[in-house]
Amino acid sequence: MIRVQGLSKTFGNLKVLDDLSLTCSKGEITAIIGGSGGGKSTFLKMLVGAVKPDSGEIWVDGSPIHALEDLALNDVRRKMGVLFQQAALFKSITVAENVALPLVENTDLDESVVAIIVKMKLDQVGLSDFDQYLPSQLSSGMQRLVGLARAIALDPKIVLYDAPTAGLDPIAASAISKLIKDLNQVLGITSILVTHDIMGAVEIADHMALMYQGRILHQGSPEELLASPEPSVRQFMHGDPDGPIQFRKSREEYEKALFEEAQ
Amino acid sequence: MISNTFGWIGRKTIRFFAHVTNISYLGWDILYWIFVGPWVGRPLRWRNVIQEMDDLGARSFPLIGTMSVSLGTVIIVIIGPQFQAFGIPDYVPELVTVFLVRELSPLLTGVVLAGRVGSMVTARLGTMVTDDEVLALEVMAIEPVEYLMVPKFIATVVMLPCLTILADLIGMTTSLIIATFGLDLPFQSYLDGVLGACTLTDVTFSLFKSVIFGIVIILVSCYQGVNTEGGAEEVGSATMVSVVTCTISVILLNGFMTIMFYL
Ligand SMILES: Nc1ncnc2c1ncn2[C@@H]1O[C@H](COP(=O)(O)OP(=O)(O)OP(=O)(O)O)[C@@H](O)[C@H]1O
Ligand SMILES: [Mg+2]
Repeated sequence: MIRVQGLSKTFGNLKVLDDLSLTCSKGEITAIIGGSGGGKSTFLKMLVGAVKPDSGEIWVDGSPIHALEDLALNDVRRKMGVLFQQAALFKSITVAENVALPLVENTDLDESVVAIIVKMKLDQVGLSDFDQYLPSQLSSGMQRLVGLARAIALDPKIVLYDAPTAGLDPIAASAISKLIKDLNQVLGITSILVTHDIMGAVEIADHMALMYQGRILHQGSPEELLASPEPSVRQFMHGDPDGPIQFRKSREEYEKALFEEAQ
Repeated sequence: MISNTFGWIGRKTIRFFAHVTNISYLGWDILYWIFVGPWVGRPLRWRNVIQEMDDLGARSFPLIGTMSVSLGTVIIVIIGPQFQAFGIPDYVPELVTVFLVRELSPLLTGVVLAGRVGSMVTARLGTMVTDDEVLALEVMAIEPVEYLMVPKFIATVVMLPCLTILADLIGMTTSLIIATFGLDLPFQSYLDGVLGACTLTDVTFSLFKSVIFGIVIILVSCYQGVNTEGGAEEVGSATMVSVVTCTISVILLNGFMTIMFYL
């Protein structure tokens, strides 16, 4: 369903993706975990053709995203829903209008039908009472829920979720995890889930991939990753600050950098 | 030193022409969506156009009105007594008309709108880009140029000539009132003088100029807005650059067109 091959991307002199390859099967939930600033959001943006890779191939549902022009790209995009990390709602229109936008723009549905769909989608994310609010009047967690409602408004075949549960209370977070699982099982939506909520991901994902230094370091079923003897995988899955994956520069490097700064 | 200076000028020139090229592409894109879009199933968004006309144009009216009253007063107060002293008061209405209609109204209305449109449009679009909202539009298969820029373009290009005419009327009326009651120039002969001096060519030329100003202002503002990268800081500086560029363009173009007109 989604297959990427040898994806590389550099911003300035920062190598964000480095020869990344990954396959996501149809009807499955693939969870991508990895360090902050590791290029996960960039990767999702590439899957919808919003960021162009420096090299590599992206195949979504049989279409070569890396090679498509705008018009053909739009046909693929109509099959996909994206929840952005910062929700990316339109600030000047209400919550209901935000969710209605993809429907109004991409279908010929009657206004009354659109209104009903919007109501349903908002109900699914638990925000049916907030339809007349402006995005700026909602908390950031609620904004992300509206973004989720908008992403699934067109009943897409593929949904990309960028940190859907970040900033939500535990109850809302597990409700959203359950919603993602339900959408996947009932409607057969192929899902890619980028998250820092490892346990939430373990519960619902069919496949998990650990991204590190711009490539997939390890992948497999959640159970495999949890049980993996690999030190870096263990460290990440269990959130250990000490291990092969360094949060900060090593002590020696740090001292050297300080010393150079002083000169 | 000298080669440095030339290098600097060279680089600036190349950058300038690169910007001009990109802006013309944007212009073509917008024209496509205005003239071809409606035939390929993308009707113009009249509701948004009217909204933008109100935001960008109608709300500038108090400012334009104040400016024109002051302008009409200043001109007649300076020119009137001088010409009376020379014994040629008959030339007063003609000179005032030429100055106001041909030069000052279009120029100053353009400068006012350069500030308003330049800041509003660039800041709005810039924020939308940095908040991923433009990305979200693209992913929903909505063309940002068509959805965001076309209504603003039409609104500016229509409103600027309208405001210029209003500025003409207000300025002329003010000068007429002051000439009659302040300078004891006979009302009827002043009015006849104005109507005689204000030829169709003058009005057309002034409207032509304001249409050109409108096109340049809105293109520069949109271009600066969508090319913003980063966050609030960059939106701020893009807005500043946009206002300055729009204002300078209006002033330079006005000089250029007036010279061409008289040659
Ligand atoms: N448009 C851009 N221009 C320059 N650098 C960028 C751009 N977009 C992303 N980056 C850089 O790419 C790196 C990866 O960013 P990205 O947002 O993909 O990380 P992430 O894995 O989603 O992080 P997080 O888990 O915190 O969301 C960051 O270091 C960021 O600074
Ligand atoms: Mg991210």
